[in-house]
Amino acid sequence: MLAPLKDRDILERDLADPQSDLSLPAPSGQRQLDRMVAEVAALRHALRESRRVQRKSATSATRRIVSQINEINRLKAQNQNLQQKLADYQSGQAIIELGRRLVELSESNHLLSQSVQRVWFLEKTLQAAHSEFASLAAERDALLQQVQARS
Amino acid sequence: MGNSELWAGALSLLLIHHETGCPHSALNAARLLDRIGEMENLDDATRCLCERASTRLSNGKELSHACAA
Repeated sequence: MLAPLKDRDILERDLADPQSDLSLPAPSGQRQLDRMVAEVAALRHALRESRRVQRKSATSATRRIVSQINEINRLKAQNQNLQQKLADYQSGQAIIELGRRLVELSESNHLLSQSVQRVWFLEKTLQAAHSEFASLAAERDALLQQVQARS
Repeated sequence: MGNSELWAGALSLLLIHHETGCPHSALNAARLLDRIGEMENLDDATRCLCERASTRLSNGKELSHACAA
């Protein structure tokens, strides 16, 4: 597709009277005309080709621009995050949060240690009870055998 | 001493206490935690947390790591 001309009169004048601006000698007129028509066709073809290349280049450039805008936005967001982190470190907020977290974890560790000790104690008590149960069962079985032997 | 300096000190002493079992570090950490707990711009949950930690450290009830228990 050809781009619109600023001065359309040039084309219209050519179409209406192609010979108006030409003052060629009569015998070589037709040959000269053919040569100019071919030249115009070649120029139009070259123009079309040039515009096609320009369109392709424009599309490619647009794609690159969009890609770069996306990259800029990503870097802006990353920069903002890093600035926030930096501000946190500068204000001491990070060390405060770290200290608070350590105190929290110390408390959790304390409670867990207490639970572990309680479990250990209950396990030992259970083992003792189990031993006592086994001992009593053996004693009961022995007594039962004695009773059965007497009867 | 600023807010973050107190926390940094308490954090450091607590780590030393956890690492070495040093009782002096525990007592000093407890003192710093008391001072942190007295600050006005502290939320109630953190204040209670600091008080409980200070009490544990002062009484020598801070146990070793639960995994080693």
